[in-house]
Amino acid sequence: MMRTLTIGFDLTKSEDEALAEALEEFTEAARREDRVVVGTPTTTVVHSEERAALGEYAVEVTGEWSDGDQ
Amino acid sequence: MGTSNDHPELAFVQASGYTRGRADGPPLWIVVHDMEASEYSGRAESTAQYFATGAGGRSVSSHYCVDDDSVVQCVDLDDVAWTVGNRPGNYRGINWEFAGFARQTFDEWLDPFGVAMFGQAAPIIRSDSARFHIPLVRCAIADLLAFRPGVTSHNDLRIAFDVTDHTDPGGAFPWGWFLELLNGGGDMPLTLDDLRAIWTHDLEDGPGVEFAYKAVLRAADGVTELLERPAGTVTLTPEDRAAIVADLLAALTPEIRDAVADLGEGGAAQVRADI
Repeated sequence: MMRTLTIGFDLTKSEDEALAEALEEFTEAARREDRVVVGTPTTTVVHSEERAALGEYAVEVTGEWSDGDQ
Repeated sequence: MGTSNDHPELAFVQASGYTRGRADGPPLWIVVHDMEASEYSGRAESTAQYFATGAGGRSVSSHYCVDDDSVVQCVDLDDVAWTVGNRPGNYRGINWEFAGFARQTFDEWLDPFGVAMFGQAAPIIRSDSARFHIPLVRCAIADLLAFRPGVTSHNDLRIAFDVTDHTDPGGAFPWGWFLELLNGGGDMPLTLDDLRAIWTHDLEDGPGVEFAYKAVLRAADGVTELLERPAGTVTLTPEDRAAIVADLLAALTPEIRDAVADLGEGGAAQVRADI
């Protein structure tokens, strides 16, 4: 199943750190649902007015999770 | 469906949108929202699924969804949910989505579904309250602006910090009943022993003497409010209240008690004026 997580980070955090942490989060979220990440997720840094108003930006991670009970 | 890190007994469905970490500090507020969705026993699960899939292209979330038979957690308490619409509310809130609508009447909130739903939420809220030292009293707008901890609503966070236009959970939300449930259950009044346990627990790790003094006064005010509310219950006299304050002070740690005494009359009066 394809999943997308959009994970916010404070504007003070570097994009390199945010990308690495977002991938960790994506893997951890899959594990929490007894799944594993299949293949390599894609990541996109998203700067939006909505998030900027809150002092943050986001990293969107999209990838495939196994079907469960892994 | 996974398992909550914060409450292993709860189901966990990761919301698709949230902020990692709590950059502004630990949670201060337990925030009441309503889902603007009808009451049914699958509502916590369906709303969690809505948060997980970002349905409609909206990345929104909350920490907990609750209906009459279950609580589903959607965002870790170490992370920030995307729900209030302003930074203080998002970053400092533990956000709860209750099944129902802001237009509901008092009686509709307290129908059998509502009573069961609040009963599902109460033990989790009490546990989080103890973990993060959040007193189970409702914050005034001034409390929110001063970042004092407590229980609040999406609407009050809107009034305090603007940005959002949401007014949930509506004007008929049964605050008195709800807070009484959180503080001891159902029709039982909050007892002095309850207050002592709450406040001494908070104050041991609390952020300072002024907070300690305010906490004692707030506890006394809470007793007054609770006992004065329904017809036929006891009203505290000023002497009763003074005795309760003295009793609560006696229950504090010696360090805090001495520091409160050091405030003197002027300091105490100023703290009272600030409340």
